[in-house]
Amino acid sequence: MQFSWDEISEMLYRGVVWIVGVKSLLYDFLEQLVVLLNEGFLLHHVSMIKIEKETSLKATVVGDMIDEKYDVNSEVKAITYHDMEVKKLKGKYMIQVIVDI
Amino acid sequence: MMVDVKKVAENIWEIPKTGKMNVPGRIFASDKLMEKIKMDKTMEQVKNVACLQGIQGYSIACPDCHQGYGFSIGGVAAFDVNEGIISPGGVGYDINCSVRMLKTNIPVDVFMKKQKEAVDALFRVVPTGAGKRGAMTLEKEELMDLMGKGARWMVNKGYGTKDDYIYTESEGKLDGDPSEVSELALRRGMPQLGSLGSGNHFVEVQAVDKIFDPKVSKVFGISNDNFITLMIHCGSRGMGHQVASDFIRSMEKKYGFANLPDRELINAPITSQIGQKYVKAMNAAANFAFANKQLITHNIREEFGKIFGDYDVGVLYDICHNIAKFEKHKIDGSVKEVCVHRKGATRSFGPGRKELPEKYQGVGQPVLIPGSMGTSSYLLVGTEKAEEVSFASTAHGAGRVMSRNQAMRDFNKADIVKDLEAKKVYLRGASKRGIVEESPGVYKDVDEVVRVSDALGIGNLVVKVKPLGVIKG
Repeated sequence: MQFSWDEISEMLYRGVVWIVGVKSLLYDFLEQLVVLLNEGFLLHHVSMIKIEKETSLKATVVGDMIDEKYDVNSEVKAITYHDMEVKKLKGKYMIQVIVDI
Repeated sequence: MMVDVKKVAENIWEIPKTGKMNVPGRIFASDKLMEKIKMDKTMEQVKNVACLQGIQGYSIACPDCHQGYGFSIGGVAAFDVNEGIISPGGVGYDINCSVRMLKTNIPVDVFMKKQKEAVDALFRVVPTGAGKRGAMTLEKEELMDLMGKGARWMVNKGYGTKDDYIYTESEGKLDGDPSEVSELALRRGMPQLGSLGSGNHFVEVQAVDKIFDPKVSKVFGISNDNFITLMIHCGSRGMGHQVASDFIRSMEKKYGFANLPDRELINAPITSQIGQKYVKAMNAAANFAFANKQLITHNIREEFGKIFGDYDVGVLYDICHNIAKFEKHKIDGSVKEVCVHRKGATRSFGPGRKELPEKYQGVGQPVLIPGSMGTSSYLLVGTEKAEEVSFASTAHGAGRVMSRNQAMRDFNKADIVKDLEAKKVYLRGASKRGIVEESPGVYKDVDEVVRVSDALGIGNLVVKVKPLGVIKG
């Protein structure tokens, strides 16, 4: 069987889908929160989060629009993969993310 | 990871080429600066960048370097345009984060009489901090037009003068294509024009403190006449941040990151379709940043006109410190086009470069190095030496040495404001935490950074300015 170089790299990518998937999913989710903050939405908490097969995530976020009553420390420029960690500890996940501010 | 480094000359350190490195690493720093550099992952990051495909000469770190994401801050890396790569992480999330310096004929004593009023006015007309709307909101079509034209778009609409963009790097317009920018990035940029953002971004009013080179400073329009100057430090806002994230994601999908020492080093061949798309999108985001600072300049000029009357406020220069640019450099005796990534490093062209405004071609390019809040800032001049040893690059600021959380533990806002008041500096900040996180104590000594640049001859001292008023995010 013959593969083109592009197809092979695509297969390798699928081969490590758990690690790639869960970190990318986390990145994509947090990025949505950055976009919301960008648009003036200040997150208070996530009331519901549902992850399916580590490829899709649905969440309900609760917060307020930013006004004078909040002293907002900083914008977040971007989520980064720098030193990102996702570990399973006693049935729970330990997550470390560094954001660029 | 222990990194082997040896001092090869005064202020020059070398990481020898070992393992997968394609070139050696070079760090430009004094013994004093090197002590701090050795404490974080900067050297490891310089070494990682040296492993990237098509890198030329050296993987370089400037005197203000410190640990970043993937590439170090203060990092410079030039890549062969045919064999090399381009990396969004080598540019940074804040595409075209840059400094614009304004010169005026407003005397310092005239400013000081209305210091508070003027700084409060700046705080009002330049929105700062998180979640604030900008001074101008554009519809998508207009925004895309602006992202093709850069600072010129603003001037054409009446927000500024022709000289404003003439004295901006690349005349405030890079070869960008807004259609390569995602809907999300456009959406993030739409409401933000004319705003400063948060973090270390600021507008500062300054007084000339010392002139090192009267001949060059005269060409740049700075004299001993005690006029105020201003510096504006900001970037491409949410727009540029999103372009960086988008291309990190799409390059990962296409090329994977299994072979990279650090996921943030994700890249694409310059000649690849995705590499070319990134160049076009990055340049469009850079144009947004140029236009943004143009609008801020206009709003400052209008406001100062109302407060101080009929004075001149002109652009001295505007220069990027987060960008990748295609430039011709001499490598091993022959001139070659390379893609120079500068992430927290300032271009430092010497005399004669055709990229410079005509008026500056005889002396070299103005290099703008802001200090931390409340400390001095510097105007330097680019050199031929920089073209020879650092792909025409030098430092971009003081360089952080303390984490933001550590700053919160060690400093408080009241002390910082009191300290600034003692120096007669009036500060307006959007958030308490923002002020503490940017206190001068968290940065390296900018005086030492520029001293090293000058001693190496990669950016020579021209003028030192001290702050009179600051607004920050």
